[in-house]
Amino acid sequence: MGYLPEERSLFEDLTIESQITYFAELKGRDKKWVKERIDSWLKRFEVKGEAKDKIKSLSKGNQQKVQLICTLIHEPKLVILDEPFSGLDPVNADLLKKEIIRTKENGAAIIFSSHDMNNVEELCDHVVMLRNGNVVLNGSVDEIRNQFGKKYVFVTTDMSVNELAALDGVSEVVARGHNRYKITLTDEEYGKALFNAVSRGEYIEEFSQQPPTLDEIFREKAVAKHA
Amino acid sequence: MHKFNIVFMRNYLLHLKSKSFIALLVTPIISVLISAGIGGLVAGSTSNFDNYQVAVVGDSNVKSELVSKDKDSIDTSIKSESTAKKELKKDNIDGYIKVSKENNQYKINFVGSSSLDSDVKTDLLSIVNQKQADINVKTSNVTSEQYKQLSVKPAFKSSVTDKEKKQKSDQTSSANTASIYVLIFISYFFTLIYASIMSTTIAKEKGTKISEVIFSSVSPSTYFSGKVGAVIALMATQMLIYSGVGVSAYFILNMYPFFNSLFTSQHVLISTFIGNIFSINLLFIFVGLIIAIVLAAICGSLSANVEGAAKSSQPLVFLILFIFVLSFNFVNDGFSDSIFSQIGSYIPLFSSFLMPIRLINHAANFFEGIISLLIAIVFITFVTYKFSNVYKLFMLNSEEGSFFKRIKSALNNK
Repeated sequence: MGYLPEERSLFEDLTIESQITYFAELKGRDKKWVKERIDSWLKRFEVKGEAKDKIKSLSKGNQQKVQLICTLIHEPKLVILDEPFSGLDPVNADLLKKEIIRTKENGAAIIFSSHDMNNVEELCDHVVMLRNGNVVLNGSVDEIRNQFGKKYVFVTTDMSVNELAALDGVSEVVARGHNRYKITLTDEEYGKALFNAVSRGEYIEEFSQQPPTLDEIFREKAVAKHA
Repeated sequence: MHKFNIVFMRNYLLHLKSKSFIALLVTPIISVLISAGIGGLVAGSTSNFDNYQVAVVGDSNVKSELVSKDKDSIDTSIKSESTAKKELKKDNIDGYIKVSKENNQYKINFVGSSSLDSDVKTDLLSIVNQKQADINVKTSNVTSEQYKQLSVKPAFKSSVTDKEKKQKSDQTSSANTASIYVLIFISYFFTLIYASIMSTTIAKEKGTKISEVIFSSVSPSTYFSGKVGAVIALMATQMLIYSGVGVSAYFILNMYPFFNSLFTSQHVLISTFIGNIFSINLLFIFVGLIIAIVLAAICGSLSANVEGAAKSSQPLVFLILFIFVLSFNFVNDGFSDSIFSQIGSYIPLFSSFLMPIRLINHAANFFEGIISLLIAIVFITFVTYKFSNVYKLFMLNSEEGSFFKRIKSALNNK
């Protein structure tokens, strides 16, 4: 099993090599086996530092990467990641995402907790949302999103906000700039009528009817929590 | 066992290579060397100040023979009585010996600010007696054989066994007292130092989430045993190094005449002292240290972070200090067999201080010592086993509050 806690959990006085070797040995890997792989992992995660450098000499982002290497290097079958992207810039977050997907493709089961729904939507096959220790959402990303209906339409049109708001089944119109709008329907059934009204049988650049994103669902559930 | 070895070796080597351990190891040795150096310098300056010097005037044969025997005590630059008087007045010499011969008799006159040094006096009389004897043989017209017959002295045999016995007894008593104090101080300092190392090591991990990561790989009891084992091994290493340094120093110093004669004259004291230290008493210290280390680990696991380690260890530190002060009451022979001392010498941790005192003062026998030692070992095994089972609860609990509140809170999470 590989476990990555949210907070930094490394021995700061150890070198990168000693730290990774120690944890991997505790996971049952041979020291030689680990040492042969350390350099390639450091390269893959673009860690700024040598294997002999002390952990305390690394930046927080690089420490996070070393911690992730400690979690994955022994090739666990079960990985638990608690907020793995905290403290990482978008470039490093992409590196981590790639590694998570690679680990998944190698057959590992990954339990991953996050408050960033974009990452969840991007990486997870199955989502469970907990509120006060109770399960409030459970299913695949598509299943969960579809539970809330395809009530959102993203459209590019010359029509004004008032014209769009006056159409049947439209509950809210949000201008997104450059003639782009996000329209909320009272029911997904109004989608077809809206398409006809907006396109008038002509070509339109954009018309996409979608369920709410996980982020929107999260907000909705969080609001329900505070209500 | 494999994971225990990994935890044990990693922690042991980490401590062993740390600057703080090297400082801990070297500082006492440097302190002893500096003390010895200062002692040597003081002794040297004192001996220079007290350097006994006399002049010898008169018979040149006697003078030359005396100089050959007591070169350091004779000022050879003074040739005449008048010069000797002047130098004595100036306090440059302690006195002068005038050797003259009148009517076939040697006459010795010593003038000085203090009595003539006994060594110089003995050598001088030996030389002059021989010379006087030669003159006597010549003047009395006796043959050398006849003179030998005349010189036969009664046989004298000295048996001072009582004094020697008393001297030996005095040395043994001094050695016993010295070894008791050394054992108490070793126990006290080692206990405090290693209790602090242990609680800090554990508390360091308490402030982070490292414990969570580690417990996902190794059982808390194995991890705890490995960490405690590493600190115990570290302590054993320090003791072994000091023993090695002590034995080496003994053999090296023994090559020097001064120390050789000192060791020979103080043989009883040294052998008794070493015998008292390197015996069951050392086992008591070792076992006491292990108890302190295990208790310190519990204290460390109760702190919220490394900064709180000292505060969490306070109950243990106060207990050690109490036992340390208490043990001085039982150093004297008469108090070693008091009821408090008897009871205390069977209570783990107390026994590490009190039982060695009783054993050295013959207030307890070897069998009683073994029983006390076994009680302490059973206690260690019990506490280590019990605590290793709840170690995880203590490490993952972050409750603030009093010492007992934190224990209660940790155990409630079971």
